[in-house]
Amino acid sequence: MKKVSIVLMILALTALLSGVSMAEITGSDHDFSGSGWSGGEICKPCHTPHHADTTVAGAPLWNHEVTTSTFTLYSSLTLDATDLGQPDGVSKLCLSCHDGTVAIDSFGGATGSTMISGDALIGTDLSDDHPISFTYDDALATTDGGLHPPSTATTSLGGTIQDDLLFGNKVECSSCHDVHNSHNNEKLLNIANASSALCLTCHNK
Amino acid sequence: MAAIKTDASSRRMRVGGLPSIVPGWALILMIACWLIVTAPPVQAQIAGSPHDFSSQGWSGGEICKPCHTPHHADTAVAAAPLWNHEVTTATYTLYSSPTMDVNVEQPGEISKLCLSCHDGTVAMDSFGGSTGSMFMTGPAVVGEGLDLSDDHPVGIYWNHQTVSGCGTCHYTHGDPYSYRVRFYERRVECASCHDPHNNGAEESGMLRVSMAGSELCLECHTDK
Repeated sequence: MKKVSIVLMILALTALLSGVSMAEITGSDHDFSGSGWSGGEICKPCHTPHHADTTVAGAPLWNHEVTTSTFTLYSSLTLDATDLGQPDGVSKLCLSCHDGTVAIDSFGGATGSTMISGDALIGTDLSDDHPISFTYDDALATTDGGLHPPSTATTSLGGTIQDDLLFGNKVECSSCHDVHNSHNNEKLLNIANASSALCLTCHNK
Repeated sequence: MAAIKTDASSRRMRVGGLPSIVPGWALILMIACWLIVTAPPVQAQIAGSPHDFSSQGWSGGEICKPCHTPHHADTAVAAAPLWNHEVTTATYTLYSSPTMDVNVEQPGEISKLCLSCHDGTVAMDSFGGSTGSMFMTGPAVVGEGLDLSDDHPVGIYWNHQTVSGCGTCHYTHGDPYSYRVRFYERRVECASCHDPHNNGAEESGMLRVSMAGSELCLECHTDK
C-alpha cells in the first residue's frame, strides 16, 4: 500500500509540474508543421540554418520572402507620435505573411500560393490597426498625457515598458505579440488581455 | 541640526542598521517624501468605473474592447481612435429654450459615439462586427425615444474666436484641450463635461470637473 501511495504521489507531482510547462511555439497558431506546405517543420517558414537572407536584420537567419508593399498608415486626431512611418524592422517580417501580398509558403527561395485569410489578415491598409513603427519615449508620454513613461513604468513581465515591449524604443507588432508564443496567451500576446491588462500597460486610462 | 540631535536623542528610533543620527520621525518623513515623489500621479481610472464592463460576460472580459480594437477598426469614425462599436444612425429631437442664443445642431460625431450606447437604439454588446442584445436601461439612457430636448444641449457651435483673451482657456496653441471643459470642433459635446475614460475622483458621472458647488456648470456659465 505504501508503494502505491508513493507512486500516486509521484504521478500527482508529475501532473502538477507538467501543468506549468513552458509555453512554446509547438501547437501554437504559428506551428504550421501539420500543413503540407511547411515540409512538416515549425521553424522553417521563417528561419533557416543555412543560406539565410542576410539583408534582413530584424530577425536571425531569415528564410521567408519579405513584403515590398507600401502601406496605408494609421492616423488619428489623438495621435501625438511624430515619426510614424512605413513599417520597419521586425514588423515588416510579420507583414510578410499578414499583409496578404506574400504567400505563407513563400520561403526558402520558393514562391508559394497559400495566402493568409480571416482575422489574421491585416492587409496593406494599416489605418484600422493600432499604429506600429513609431518611437514611444518619455517625451511622447508627456506630450500625450495618456501614456505611461516607458523608461520607468513597469510591465507584468518584470521590467520597464522600454525593456520588455519596445524595439529600439519603437512600438512594433512584437510589442504586443510574441511570434514564438513565449507566454502562452491568446493571439500570441506578450501579456494576457483580461481586463485589458495589455492595453493598460501603456495606456494610462 | 544640533538642536534636533540633542533634543531627539532620548526618543530616537533605531531602524535596522541605519546610522543613529537619523531620528525615526525624520526617516518616516523621508520615506513619505520619497513615496510622494516616485509614486505615479494619482489618476482616476477606467478600471472599476461605470465604463468597466470586464466583469460582464458580453465584454469578453476586456475593458477597452467594446469601444476600441487594435485591429480591423471602423475607419469611418474619425472622432475617436480605433473604433470598434456599432454607431447609432438616429436623428434626435433637439433641445430648445427661450434663453438660448445659439442654434443647436444634431450631436457631433464624438457625441454620437456616446449615444451609440446611451440612446438605447444600439446594444452595448454590438461591437467587433457582432450585433448584440444588451440594451442600456435606467438613468444612463439619455436619448430615450431619441429625445434630447430634456438634456443639456450638445452640438452647440461656440463661435468663440470672437471672444477676446484666448489665454483664459487655452494654455498653448498646440493643445486644444487645455481647458478643463473641452470643446470638439468648437462645439459643446457630451465629452465636454464627461470623460469616458475616467471615473471622476469625487463624482459618479465620470465628470471632468467636480459638481461640488456646481463648479463644473460655473466653468462655462460665468455670469451666474
